[in-house]
Amino acid sequence: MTTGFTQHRTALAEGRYLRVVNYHNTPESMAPQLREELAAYAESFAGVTIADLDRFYATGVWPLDRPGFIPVFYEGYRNNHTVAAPICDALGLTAWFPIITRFVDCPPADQRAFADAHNIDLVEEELSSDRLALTWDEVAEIAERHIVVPHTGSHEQITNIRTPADIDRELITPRRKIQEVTGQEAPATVYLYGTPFGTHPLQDQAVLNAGYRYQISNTMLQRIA
Amino acid sequence: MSLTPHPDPGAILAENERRALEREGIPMFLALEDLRGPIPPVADRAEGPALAELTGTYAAAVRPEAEDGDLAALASVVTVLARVHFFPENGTA
Repeated sequence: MTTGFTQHRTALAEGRYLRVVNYHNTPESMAPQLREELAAYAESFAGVTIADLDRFYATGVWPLDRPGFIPVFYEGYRNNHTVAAPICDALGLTAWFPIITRFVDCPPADQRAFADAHNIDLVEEELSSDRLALTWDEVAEIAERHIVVPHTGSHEQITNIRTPADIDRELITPRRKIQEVTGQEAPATVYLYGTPFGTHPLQDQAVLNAGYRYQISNTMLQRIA
Repeated sequence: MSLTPHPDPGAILAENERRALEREGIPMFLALEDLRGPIPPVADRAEGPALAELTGTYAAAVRPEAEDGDLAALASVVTVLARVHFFPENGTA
């Protein structure tokens, strides 16, 4: 299993790697810079869908005309819908959106407090905004052209997910809710701090039982089922 | 982008650590792994062998004390690798 330097270098050497750029907030003030960055990526790389990923894992071949690349927008910020997704749409890039589902569930008036309590960074220019998180309608709209997956229910780290109630709240319900809203499979999950599969047996089994096929970590994308 | 090692990876790491990560993109190379069994051999490894070599070079430079399984150190080293060598050298995979 790829759990360290040696294994990571082996994966690179064997051609088993994928480029990603991890974003979080994408406020309006960042739009010109983001557009410029993503345009440069779009010139050199092709976006990666779940079908592309499944194909690579089955065959070792990317069904792409350029190297694969995923822009990833974490947390479920409203500005990911107003700024990031339209830029990706205009450039024809498929992006991935790992969302904290209870942030989306949270009433707008409580979202700042929820963010403060759950390691969700906010930007100064949006602190007075009437809403910080996506709505479920916006999640559904994003999923028409992009990949939406859970980033746990509460932006939780793996070691805090221990009881059946924790597992339901952080792993099972988020996947079910996203699939209900988008009508599409949510095949991957990712923990706060990006812990990989294979380090915590109880949580690993819970991820499998919840039906996930991929786990995203800081340095890996693991096919787990 | 060149696959020549950056002369000062420590400066790249320091620059990465100064960035406002809540509002800036963080380039990474993710390793792809299949726990069900081996991924079929990848015919087009492109610059992968060179990137693997560079990972070792940068690890020795910026995280020489790290254990092989130190995932935080690995992530730091890969951010250096990706910041310098993200774009392919000749446009191929």
